[in-house]
Amino acid sequence: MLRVQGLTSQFRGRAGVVRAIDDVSFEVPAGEAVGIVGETGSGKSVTIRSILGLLPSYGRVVAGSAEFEGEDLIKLSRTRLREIRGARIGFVAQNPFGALNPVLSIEKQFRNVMRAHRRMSRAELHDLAIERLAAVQVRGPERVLRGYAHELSGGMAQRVVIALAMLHDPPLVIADEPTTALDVTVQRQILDLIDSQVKQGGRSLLLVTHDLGVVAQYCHRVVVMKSGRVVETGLVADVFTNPTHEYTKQLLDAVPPAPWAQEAPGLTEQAVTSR
Amino acid sequence: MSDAAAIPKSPAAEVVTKIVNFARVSPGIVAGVAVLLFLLLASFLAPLPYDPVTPDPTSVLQPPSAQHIFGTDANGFDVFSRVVAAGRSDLPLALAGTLASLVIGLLVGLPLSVKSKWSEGFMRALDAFQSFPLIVLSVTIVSLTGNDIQNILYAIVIINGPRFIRLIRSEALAIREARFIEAAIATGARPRRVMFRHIMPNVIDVCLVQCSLTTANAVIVIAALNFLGIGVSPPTPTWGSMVQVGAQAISTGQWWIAIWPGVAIFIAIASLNMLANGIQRRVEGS
Amino acid sequence: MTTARAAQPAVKQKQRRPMLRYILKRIAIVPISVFVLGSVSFFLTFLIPGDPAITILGDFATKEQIAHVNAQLGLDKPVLERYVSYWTNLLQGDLGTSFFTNEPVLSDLGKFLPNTIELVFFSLLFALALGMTIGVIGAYFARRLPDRIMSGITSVLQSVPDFFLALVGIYVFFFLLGWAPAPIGRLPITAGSADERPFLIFSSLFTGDWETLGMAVSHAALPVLALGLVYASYFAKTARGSMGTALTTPQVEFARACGLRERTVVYYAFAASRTTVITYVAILFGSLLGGAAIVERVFNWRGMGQWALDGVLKVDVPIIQGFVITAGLLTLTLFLLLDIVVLLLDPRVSYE
Ligand SMILES: Nc1ncnc2c1ncn2[C@@H]1O[C@H](COP(=O)(O)OP(=O)(O)O)[C@@H](O)[C@H]1O
Ligand SMILES: [Mg+2]
Repeated sequence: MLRVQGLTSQFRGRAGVVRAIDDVSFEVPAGEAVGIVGETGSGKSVTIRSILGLLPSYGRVVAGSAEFEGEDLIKLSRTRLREIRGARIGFVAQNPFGALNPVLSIEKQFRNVMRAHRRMSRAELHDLAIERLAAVQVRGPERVLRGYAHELSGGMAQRVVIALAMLHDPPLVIADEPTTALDVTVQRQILDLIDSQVKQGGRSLLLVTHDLGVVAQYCHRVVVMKSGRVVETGLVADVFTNPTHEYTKQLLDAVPPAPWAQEAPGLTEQAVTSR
Repeated sequence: MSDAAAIPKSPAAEVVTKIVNFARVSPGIVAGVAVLLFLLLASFLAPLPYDPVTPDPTSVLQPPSAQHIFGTDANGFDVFSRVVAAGRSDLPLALAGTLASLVIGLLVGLPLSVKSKWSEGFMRALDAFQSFPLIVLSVTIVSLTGNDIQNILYAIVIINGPRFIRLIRSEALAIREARFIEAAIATGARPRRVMFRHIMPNVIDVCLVQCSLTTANAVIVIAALNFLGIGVSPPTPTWGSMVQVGAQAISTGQWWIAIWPGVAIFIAIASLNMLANGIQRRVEGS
Repeated sequence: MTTARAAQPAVKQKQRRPMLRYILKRIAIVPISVFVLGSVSFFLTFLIPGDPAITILGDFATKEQIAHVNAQLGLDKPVLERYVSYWTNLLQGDLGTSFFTNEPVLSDLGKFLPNTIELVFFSLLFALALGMTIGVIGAYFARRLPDRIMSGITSVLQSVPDFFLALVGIYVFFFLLGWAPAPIGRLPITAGSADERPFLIFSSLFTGDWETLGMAVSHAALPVLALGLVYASYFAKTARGSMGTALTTPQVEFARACGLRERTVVYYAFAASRTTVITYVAILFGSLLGGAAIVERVFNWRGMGQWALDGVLKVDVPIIQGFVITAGLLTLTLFLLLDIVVLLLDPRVSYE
């Protein structure tokens, strides 16, 4: 589905060029969930941005490829890349209040995302938006559509973001720490929601997180990053039971293993057989 | 690296190396300071080919030539000598106005950073004051209080004082929230000591930026007022009054009378803006 | 979807008609501001040193002139009485008459204010268009070559005094190229006095008087260019800053990640920073009402700024007072409008 190879990106700063990620390679097989873990600043977001062509104007991918559905996203023209973003790859942002436009109504934002890829009458779109909001368990979708982002709670806003990301039923969903900005109480709900949405559509998921517990529970594979490099990658079951890299061991030691260890799909045959 | 350091260097060479290194990181600051120093030194030290306040009635409205490199104006003054000499009054006046604005900003802004109903009210009043066309207010005040060169200082302060007050207050407010101030208060430092020993040094950075911008603004204000004939008595050369004299001749093609002093104003302001941008970069970068 | 969850509303309950209440509250402050404004303009006269009549008229004034000025200033009466009668006149719309021309200040204002408004309107329009373009290009290509070029242009524009730019414009476009008419007002001398024709450009545009429109526009071109270029630098700086920030926000990133067109993405960033820009328009409009004075004078535009400036230079107190009050009232109105517009544009602004 998605095959990243040797991805290297740099930023131009005042003190010269800074290499943020270096030779990053991993793979997201069709229908699987892959987690990227690593401490803050390890280059997780830069990896995602490089794949999606979202680096700021002073950042650049200097080497590597990201093959998706037979095309190298890094080499694609801006126009073609735009056609893929949102339609073939859905993106769930970290902070819903940052992601949603504060001065446009939610309905207007649905309309914009729809119009970016497909024509649809207002009435049709309205019905579809209601249906999608209901699917992500947004309460009072009619009212939410009419309203603005700041009127929503964090959990509700993130549901709206998920509905927007899935509007075009993309086969690949990328989520960059989708719960860090949210209340602890709703984090689990949001992750479950993403998980179920991905599974229902038979989609692939690339989930960025710094929580190994989350990876164990929701992902089949894991990519461990440190200072811009991939230090370890493989099946969750293998990596967690038998980490080869010192850094991964440290990460694992830092997490209390007990509660999620049993229910984690990555540690049962389920993940192994689904390959 | 270590090899280079091992070779003993003359102190002068070391200073040059330091400046070159600094210029590489902050070209704006070095260029700005260099141009400003050049302007100041030139105004005070450059030999003047003619007396700037004695007209020569036999050479009037001469275009630039070997005798008068910037030409002469309608009264027979040598434009070059006057452009250079004008820097003697314009630049120090601009710096003095900036200094006065800074002092007022510190004296009023720092105490205002203590949150209270009173300080909120004062800021509201300042909002209202600043929303007024201040250049006209300052012209009003300068001309009402008398046509005197020092009164231009009032004009500069009226326009820029409030900006300093606002800036210093908001910076001081932000710094007060910071932890090391809490620590100072916790160890029992008296409020005034906290204000001057701990807060003031930390607002200096942003003040430096504002000082360059203010000096640039002051150069414009001085030029504008002098252009209107305020705060200047005729033979004394100032850039603004020279542009005014040249304005009367420009429709008939004698460009050099207004353009040279105008270029001097432009260079002064541009170098100050460059300096401000350079300092801003450094403050943000750190 | 569970019904139990649906019981809690997802959207917070709003206050009843908060907008109207806010606007009423905001308008209620206006009288206080007017009172302060009027008082300030009254006490301005106290700044005049020495014997005001002599300061104003000079040492060679006649007895009658001095008597006229003293009567106008009311210097023979106690301060309180003067203050009361000042307000009585003011509230009746009587701003006094000029010491030197004996024209009622109000009729002068009627003549000159429209000229200034027209000049400032077109200058700001030009400045806004140019400055936004420079700023948005710079922000879009942040830290790359176009950004450097745009910030270079901004610094240059920022460093030129408007009156100097006006003179350069006159030299190049009038003297050298002959494209622009002589800087002698809003219309050529042959067209007669323009004083009785307020809003020359607007009115000739609406009445379809193309000949007048052509003349008016060609006379307006240079002053608009001079003011517009200089003030464009303010918009460029503001737009570069706020658009620069807006374009790196997660909001823009999410918009791009959803596949929105670049046009829409830039619009998103603009929508997020538009209140900053609009605030700037209001601030510059207010400051240009007087700030255009020197350029008005260079082009003999006969606007409010030039009129006030002449009044100020002659210490024509009623004119000064009239100007202070008018400019103040206009500024107040402008900021009231600004607040309301910002409120309408941004659903986030709280009404408290
Ligand atoms: N916009 C940027 N400009 C310059 N450097 C950046 C930028 N974004 C990220 N970086 C650099 O890339 C590194 C990785 O950042 P990031 O991918 O955001 O980390 P994280 O793993 O927490 O998502 C950081 O250490 C930072 O130095
Ligand atoms: Mg991140």
